[in-house]
Amino acid sequence: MSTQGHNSWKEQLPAYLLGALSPVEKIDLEYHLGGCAECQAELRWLAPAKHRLVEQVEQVEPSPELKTRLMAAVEADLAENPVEAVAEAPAIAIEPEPETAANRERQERRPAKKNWFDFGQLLRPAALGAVAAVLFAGVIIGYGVRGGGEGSQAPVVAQKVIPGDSNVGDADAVMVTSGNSGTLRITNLPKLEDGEVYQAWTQKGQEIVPTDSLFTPRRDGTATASIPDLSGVNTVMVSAEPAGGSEQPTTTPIITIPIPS
Amino acid sequence: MPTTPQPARHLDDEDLLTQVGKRDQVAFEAFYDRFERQAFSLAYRIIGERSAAEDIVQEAFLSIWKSGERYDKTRGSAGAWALGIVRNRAIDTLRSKASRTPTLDSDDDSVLESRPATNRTDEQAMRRDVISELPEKQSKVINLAFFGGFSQSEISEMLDLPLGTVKGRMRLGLEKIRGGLNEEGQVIA
Repeated sequence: MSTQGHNSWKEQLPAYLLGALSPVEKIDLEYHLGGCAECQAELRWLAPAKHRLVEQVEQVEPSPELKTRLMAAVEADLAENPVEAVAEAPAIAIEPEPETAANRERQERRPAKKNWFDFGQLLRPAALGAVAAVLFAGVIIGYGVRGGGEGSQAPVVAQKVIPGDSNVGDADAVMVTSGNSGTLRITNLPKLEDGEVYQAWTQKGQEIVPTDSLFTPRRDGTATASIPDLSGVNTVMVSAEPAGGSEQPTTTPIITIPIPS
Repeated sequence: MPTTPQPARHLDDEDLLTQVGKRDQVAFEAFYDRFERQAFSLAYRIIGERSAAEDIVQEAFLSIWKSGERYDKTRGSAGAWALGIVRNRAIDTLRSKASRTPTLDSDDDSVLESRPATNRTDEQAMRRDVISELPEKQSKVINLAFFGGFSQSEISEMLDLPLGTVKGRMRLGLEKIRGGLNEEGQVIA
């Protein structure tokens, strides 16, 4: 390629970064980029300038309702398209949001006890309908939609919602099961002492088995935790334990959920 | 063998997004918390209305939730990818709101007033804004392109400048911003 021809591509890079190429120009340049190490390097070098433009935008706080709506929509999507199986322990444990001034302010603005489990607060009727169906139907049949729309032969996944018992305050819990896995959803969990976490346990017959689900509640007292294997489990429990978890419960479980066989 | 759970806040953005691709709600919430403010601020800067900006952010993050598995680490950071989705949606909204492309023979001011992102009067905000530190000729084309959603050809026509001049100003402006950053993209003290 001639130097002049190559320079004409390089001249397009700033506009490409800024999103100022026409669709045809963009496709042409991306085709060229695929085979031009020099332009790729130039683009990599210039890219942080675009990031800087974004970073320097005056920061404005969105309303807390934005997150409420978004997470309700995610819940509704999960209810409509449940995760079919959890093959391994959760990769992530719940931790509260970092303690920042912005978060504190946002939390203070939130009405008390309004969270993803406070279904009466969901703003979108579709989301309300979908999530309410999960809670109140007891057993719902979700049709996997990944394979297509009406008439598709997607697998049918049964989802059960099992209420739990709590012996502290107004804490409440349900277990949403799908196949052999389940997700604990807890509200109004008490704050932990420093150096403590909540740990989920499964009881199989008389044996109490620790799980890897260690978590701390969000500031509003809610938490979710995955129980990846419910095979043979007759009860799921939650207790406060030292950080890192325990091999056997060291405190009385505060949540107990019987799992029907 | 089960893996040991990791607190979401200890995962980097890319790993969080990988988990989002597996429909991990906790990872998604953590990812959203990290970029909520930047995303909303960017959308608000472009669209100029709070409610519209919130709708854009909600749609963009729902799209991330549904398509997180499509994120490709080799094409840039997870944050840049997510904010790029927000920016694109905001520009799409802006374009759909505009009844037509601004009159090309109008003067600069009326063109600049045609899109909220380019009609900022908040002096404090402008002082913080990196593009306000550029020569006006360069900041104008970058502003129109990145926050206004105009193509370089449209900018050329509306400012009555040769296309080569618009390209040159974009390049000079971006190079100047880039020059103030180190290799990692951090601001040089």
